[in-house]
Amino acid sequence: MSEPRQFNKAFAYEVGVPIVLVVLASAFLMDSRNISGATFDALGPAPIPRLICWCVMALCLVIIGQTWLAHKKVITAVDEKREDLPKPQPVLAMATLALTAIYVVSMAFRMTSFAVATIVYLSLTIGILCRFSKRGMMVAGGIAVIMGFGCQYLFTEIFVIDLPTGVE
Amino acid sequence: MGHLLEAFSVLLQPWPLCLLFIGVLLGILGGALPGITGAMMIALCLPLTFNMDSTLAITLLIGMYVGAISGGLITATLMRMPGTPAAVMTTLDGYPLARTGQPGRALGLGISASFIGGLVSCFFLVLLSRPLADFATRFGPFETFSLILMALVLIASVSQGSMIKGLLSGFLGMMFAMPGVDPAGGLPRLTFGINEMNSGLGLLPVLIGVFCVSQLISDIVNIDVRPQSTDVNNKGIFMKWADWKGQAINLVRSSLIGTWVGILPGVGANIGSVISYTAAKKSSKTPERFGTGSEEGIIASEAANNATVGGALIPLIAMGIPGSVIDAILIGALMIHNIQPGPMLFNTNPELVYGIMVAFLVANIFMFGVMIAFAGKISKLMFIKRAYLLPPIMVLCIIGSYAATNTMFAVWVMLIFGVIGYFLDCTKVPLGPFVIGFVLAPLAEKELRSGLMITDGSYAPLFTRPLCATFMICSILLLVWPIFKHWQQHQADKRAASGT
Repeated sequence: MSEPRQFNKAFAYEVGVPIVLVVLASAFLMDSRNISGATFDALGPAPIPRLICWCVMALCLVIIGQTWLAHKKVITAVDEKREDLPKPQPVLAMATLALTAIYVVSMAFRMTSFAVATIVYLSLTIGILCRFSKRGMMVAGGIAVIMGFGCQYLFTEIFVIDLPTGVE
Repeated sequence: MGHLLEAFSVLLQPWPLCLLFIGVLLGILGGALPGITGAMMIALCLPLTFNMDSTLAITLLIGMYVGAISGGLITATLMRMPGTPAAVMTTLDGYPLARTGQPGRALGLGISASFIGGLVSCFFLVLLSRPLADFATRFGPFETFSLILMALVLIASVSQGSMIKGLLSGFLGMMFAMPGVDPAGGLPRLTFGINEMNSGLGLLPVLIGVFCVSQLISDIVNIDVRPQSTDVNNKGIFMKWADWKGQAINLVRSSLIGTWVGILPGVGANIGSVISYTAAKKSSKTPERFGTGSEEGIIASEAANNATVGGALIPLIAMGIPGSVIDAILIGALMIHNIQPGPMLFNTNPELVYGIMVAFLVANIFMFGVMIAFAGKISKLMFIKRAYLLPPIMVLCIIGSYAATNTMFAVWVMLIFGVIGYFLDCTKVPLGPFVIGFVLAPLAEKELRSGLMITDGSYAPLFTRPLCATFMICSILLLVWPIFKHWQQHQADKRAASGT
C-alpha cells in the first residue's frame, strides 16, 4: 500500500505546485491589464512583466508534461530514495504555521504586547514540537520567558528596532 | 594600495574586529548546525545592521559568510551530516577518516584547506576586482542588460537538478520582483490594489521567507531525524610539514578552481567543491581511496568551497552581479544602506570595497583560529533538540521582516514566501535562481529600458555591439548546451538499449 501513496505524493508535488504557479502567473497577467501604457520609453511598463508571466506559465506546463510522461520513473526514484528514515511530521509543521499565524494576527491587531505574545507562542510551539513532554515543557517555559523579555529589551534598547507592538 | 592600508587601519580596531569575530562565530554555528544555513543566518542578521555604518554592517556579514561556508565541514566530518550543501563532498572522505580514529586529523585537513582556499581567493579578489570594475565602467545599458541575462541563464543552467526547474525558479524570482513602482515611469504596477505593495514585496521579507521560513518548515517536518556522531579528539588537528608539501599542488589547484567557479555568477560553493573533488580524483595516484577517507578528497573539497567565497565577491564588487545566493543577500544589504553595487563602487565608496577585502582576509584568519580551537565543542551543539531551536528562530524571522518596513504586511509576505519556498523545495526547484532573479530583474529591466530610450526603441545594439553580442551568444550557448548534452545522452542510452 505504501508504494502508490509515495507515488501519489511525489506526483502531487510535481503537478500540483506548477498548477498553483500557473494560477499565480495568470493573476499577475490579469493585473498587468491595469498597467497604464503611457511612458517615456518605447517598451513601456507592461511587456516585461507579461513576458515573464508567460515564461513562468510555459515552464510550468513543460514540467507538468514531463512529470506526466515520466510518472513511472517517479515511482522508481521515490522507492530508491526510501531509507530507514524517521517518519515525516507534516502535521507538526502545519500546527506550527497555524500558531505562527495566530501569533502574527494577535500582534497585528495589538491584542497583546510583544513579550506576552512571544512567551505564549514559544511555550505552545516548543511544547507541541516536544509532544508536551514534562521536561520539554519546562525548557519551553524557560526559553519563552528569556526570548520574550530578552528580545524586547535587545531590539528596542540596543538595536533600536521597533517591535511589532512597540514597547508596552 | 593606499586605500587598502586605510581599510586595514579602520578594520583593525577593537569594535570592527569584535563584529568580525562574532560574525565568524555565528556563521560557523549556522554552518555547522544542519537545518540552519549560512543564507538563513545572514538574512536573519540583516535587520541588526540597519543602524550600523555600512562598512561595519558588511564586515559582520562577510564574517558570517566565511564562517558559514567553513562551519559545514564540522558536522560533515564528525556526523556525516553536511551543515551546508558546500560540505557534501567533504562528507565522502571526512567521515570515513574520522571513523578510523582520526577525527582530529580529518578536521585539521579540512580547516587548513579552507584557510588556504580563502587566502588564495582573497589574493585574486584584491588583484582582479579593480581591473574588472574599470572594464565594467565602459558598459552601457545594453551591455549591462546582456551581462545580467547571461548571468541569469548561467545560474539556471548550472543549478542542481533540471535546467527547466532552474529557469522556472529564476523567472519566478523575476515575476515576484515586478510589483511596485515601475523603474522608468514611477507609477505603481501589479499591486492588486493593495497599497502596501506600492513599494514592492520587499527584498528582506522575501529572502527571510524563502531561505529561513521554508527551511524551518522543512526542519519541523523532519524533526525526528537524529545525528550520528563519532568521538572527537584534537589529535593531529595541525597539518604537518610533510602534509603541506604533499598536498601543495592539490591545495593550489583546488583553490584556483574554487575561485574561478566563484566568479561565475550563481554557481556557488557546492558546485566548486564537486568540480575540485573530481579534478583531484582524476589526478590522484590513489583514486581508489576517494570515498573511503582520502586526505586529498577532504582538501580538494574544502579548499574549493572556501575559495568560491572570495571568487564570488569579485563580480559583486566589480559589476554588482551576485556570484552566489549569499552574495545576492549582500547586494540586498548594500541596497538597504543606500549603496548601489557596481563598477562605480570603487569611486563612490572605496572604503567599503577595500573594507570588504580586508574583512574577508581577517575573517579567514578568525575562522582558522575558531575552528581549530572549538570544532569539537561546536559539534556537540548538534545534539540540542531542534524543538528548542526552531520556534525561537521563527520569532527572529518575524522580527527581522517586520523591522524592514515596520508593517505587518512584510511579516505576511515572509510567511507566504516561506510556504512557497518549502513547496518549491519539495518539487526540487532550486531556490538560488529565485533570489538572484528577484535581485537582478529590476536592474535588468531598468537597463534595457534606458537603452531603448537611447536607441529610440531599437534592439539592434544587443547584437551589433561586440560585448553585447558576446554575452548574448554565451547566453544562447548556455541555454542550448545542456539540451544538446541531454539529447546526446538520450541517443547513447537508446543505442546501448538496442545493443543489449
